[in-house]
Amino acid sequence: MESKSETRELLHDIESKTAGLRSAAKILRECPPKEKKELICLMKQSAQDILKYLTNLEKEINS
Amino acid sequence: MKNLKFLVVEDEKLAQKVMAKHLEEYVVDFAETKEAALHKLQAADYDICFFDLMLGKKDNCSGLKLIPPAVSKGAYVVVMSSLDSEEIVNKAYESGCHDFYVKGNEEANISAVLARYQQKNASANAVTVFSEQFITDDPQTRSDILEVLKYARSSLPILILGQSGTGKTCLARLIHEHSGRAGQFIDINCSAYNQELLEAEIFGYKKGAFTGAYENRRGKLLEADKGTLFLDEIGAMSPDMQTKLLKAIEEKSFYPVGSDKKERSEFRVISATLEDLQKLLTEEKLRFDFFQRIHGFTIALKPLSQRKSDIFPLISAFTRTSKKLSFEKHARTLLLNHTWPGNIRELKRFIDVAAAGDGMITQDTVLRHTAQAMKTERQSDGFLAQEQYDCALAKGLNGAMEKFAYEVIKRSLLQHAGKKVKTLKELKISKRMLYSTLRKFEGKKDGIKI
Repeated sequence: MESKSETRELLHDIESKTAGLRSAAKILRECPPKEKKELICLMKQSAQDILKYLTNLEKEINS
Repeated sequence: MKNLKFLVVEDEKLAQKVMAKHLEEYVVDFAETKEAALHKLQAADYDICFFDLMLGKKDNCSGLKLIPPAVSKGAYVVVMSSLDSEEIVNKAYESGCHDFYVKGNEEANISAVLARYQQKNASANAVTVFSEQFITDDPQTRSDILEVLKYARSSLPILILGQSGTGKTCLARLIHEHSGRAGQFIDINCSAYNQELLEAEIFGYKKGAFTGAYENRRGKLLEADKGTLFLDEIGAMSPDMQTKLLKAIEEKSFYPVGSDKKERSEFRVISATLEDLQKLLTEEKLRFDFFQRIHGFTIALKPLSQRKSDIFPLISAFTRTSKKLSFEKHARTLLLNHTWPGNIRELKRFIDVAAAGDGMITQDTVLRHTAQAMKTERQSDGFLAQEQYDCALAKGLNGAMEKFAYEVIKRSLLQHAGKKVKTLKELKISKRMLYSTLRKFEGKKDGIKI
């Protein structure tokens, strides 16, 4: 039961983070250099979170 | 309409950044938690609130709990989520939200939300627009203005055409007021400056950039940041200047005169001209690429002579806070038949002068004014008015001459209170010509009613 709820939460987090990443990618082109750097930094952090969630999801599925 | 104020409740830093970018021309507050959001809702009023559904780890849709307090304060509430199950969407609407979207395509989502918000407020706005902000009873003008206001919230450039005094600046200001943009409305009349001064005015300059530049000065582009830049009489701008401005419009950045530091400004452009656009393009006074960039939506304001139903509503508006005027019957007819070459500006001047007198508008008062106005029109526009030329193109020269003869006879009859003998003598025409002209245009022998 616990595991099912964890999986659902992980899926939500992945959906949420990828949606954010997609929206950020769309505005990246028109950002001035300083904002671009800041945005890239946040996007990298999001990408790392996605990787972490995917690894956890993989573990959930395999367990 | 006031500038829009937003509250965005979002726990993700990246999503906050994206929202900030899409709403950069507005006033936006951010909160990351439910508690912080409730505090902000208590402390301030917001026009539109965006609530993320899930705030933090293991959250149980706490964004929903923010809906009732926001709605009770009159805000338009939007829920955004990566979850879009029927159950969640229903819960959001049951809690009172106005809009719901799935995260991932913020640009389209936000612009759709703004359009729906605008639509919700449109009917309420229309009443005040035409009775207070742009006074008109003319159905065509009302419809054109409502159409252009649909684009007020977008960044689409707008081009306003119309004779001098038809209300171009007033309309530009109205569009800005409906844009919800946080910045100011900045206007500049391009014909009031020579090209060097115009460049300095628009782009600003650095101290020492040229003789007389004793200090740094912000230009109109920077003053219009997050607001609207209204360029009046664009036909007076040189092609070189148009090239420079085109670059600034496209890149939203520019260099002030004498500076090597790039400035950024998020401005929206509204332009206006009283000149014939086609002629400006043919004579290469208006660059085609510049024209393409500034005419996202084009609206042409009719001269006052073509919206006579506006004359008395405008007079009422002009005298709202001053002395009320009394009009004789013939004076009313003359005012309605005058061509108002100076349009609303001329009407305003006439009312100012009239209000300074005894408040009684007689036939003589109007005749004195109209005679002066027609004299001025003749001096400024030459013998052939644009309207006459257009008529000749539409009806052929003979048709236009007949129409011209009719208009002259009609005005003469009005000025002589319908006394045909005086008109015949004044215009040196035969009775046959007078009656045949009146019959042709009015279909009756006795001529016009005064």
